[in-house]
Amino acid sequence: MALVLDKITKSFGEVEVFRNFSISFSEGVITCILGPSGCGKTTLLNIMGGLDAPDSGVLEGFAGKRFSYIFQEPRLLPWKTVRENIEFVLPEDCCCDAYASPASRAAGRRARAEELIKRVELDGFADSYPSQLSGGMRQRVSIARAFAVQSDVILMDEPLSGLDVALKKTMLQWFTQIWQSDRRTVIFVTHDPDEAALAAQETFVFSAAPVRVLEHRA
Amino acid sequence: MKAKFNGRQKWIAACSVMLMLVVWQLLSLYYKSDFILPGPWQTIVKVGKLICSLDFLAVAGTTILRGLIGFAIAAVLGIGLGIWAGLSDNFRAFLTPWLVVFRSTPVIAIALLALIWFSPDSVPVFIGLLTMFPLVCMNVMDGMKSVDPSLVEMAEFYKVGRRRIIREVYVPAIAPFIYSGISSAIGIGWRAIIVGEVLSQPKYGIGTRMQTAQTFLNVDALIAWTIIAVLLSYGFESLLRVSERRTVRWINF
Repeated sequence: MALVLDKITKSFGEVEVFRNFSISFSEGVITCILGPSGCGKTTLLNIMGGLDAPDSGVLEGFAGKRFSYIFQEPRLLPWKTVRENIEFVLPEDCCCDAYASPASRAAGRRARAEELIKRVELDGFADSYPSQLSGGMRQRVSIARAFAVQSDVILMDEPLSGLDVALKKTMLQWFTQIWQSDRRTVIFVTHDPDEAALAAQETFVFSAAPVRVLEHRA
Repeated sequence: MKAKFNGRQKWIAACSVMLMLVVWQLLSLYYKSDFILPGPWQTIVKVGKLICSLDFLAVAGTTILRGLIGFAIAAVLGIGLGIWAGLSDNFRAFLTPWLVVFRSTPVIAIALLALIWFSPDSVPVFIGLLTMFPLVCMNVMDGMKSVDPSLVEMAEFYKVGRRRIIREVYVPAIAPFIYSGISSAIGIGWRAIIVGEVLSQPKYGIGTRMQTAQTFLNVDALIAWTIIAVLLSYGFESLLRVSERRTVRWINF
């Protein structure tokens, strides 16, 4: 199985981002999309995640799939603590069977959130508010949130672009470590070839808009 | 949120109150008549007497109760309709003319109409409601415009239900706007309710007592009731600020 976009067309006003564009992503691996800024990488993620619809074209293998999104900014709710931010996106019955009582459902969500907080090494910060954390820590919360949801695909839109080089490297190591545990399909958009080299099993290099695939390394 | 005064500024504020009392004293010495302007000391004694009088609780309590009823209805309607208008441009287009009319109608015109339509006890409530509702509602609508759309997009992406998005994304985001709307509504609504009482003359009410005092030229009682009204309003403001600090404490981090 693969996630296939077939003959996609998408324009914003006069600007044609995709013209008869086709691409296929293997499942169960981390795929990087490299390309100049503004070439339509984010648009591609938004189309895959259903935040945006293509003008024409077909998406295959997307039915019934759940997605997580690690946005460029962490997008945490400032009035919720780290744990509450993660619990916020968990479905009501995410971590137990359908007959569980509301209390044990809540306990299940809480346990799930704490498990992920531990995995991104934010133990002790579960009750902190986002404004009390550094930029890198906030982005880790957003990564924890994406993994906490039992999704099939994780979409990542340059989540490390605001961080310094050393931090980027450790964040990517963490990310691949957590990823090892359940090997979800990851589509990772970046403009930084070093990030791609560190994380990706497959890489697509995109041209400027209208997008063509310049290179495909698997 | 308003910053608290430091020691020096508290001292300046205290001096300012002293100056107010001195000017008052000088004016009362100049006019030399209790029927025009009694002195501050005499008036403060009168305030004490009024507070200790048998029916003080009934008088002040009734006015406060009217305020609370009008305020509760205005807050529920204002917050509810304000959020709805923030979510739907169509509803905003529908609501805006109503708000413009309510906001620009002179309080006295509302009062005169209410006198024809309602019983004396409910006239002040109605006036208070109509002055407070647009203030709360417009602040909430401004707040809704300021909500970060990327947070809403995140919540929708993760398939969080509409109700939870309203309760857990929109409402906390607009909390500071709700508080500033409520704060100006209470200040203006409280005054409107007393104007309503002066005009409609219900059995109990601070406004009723002011009107009576004015009729019999009890200027000290008139000013004393005014001071009581100011103190009560200040009390509500302080309560509101305490509750705001507790609710939106995440801002302070």
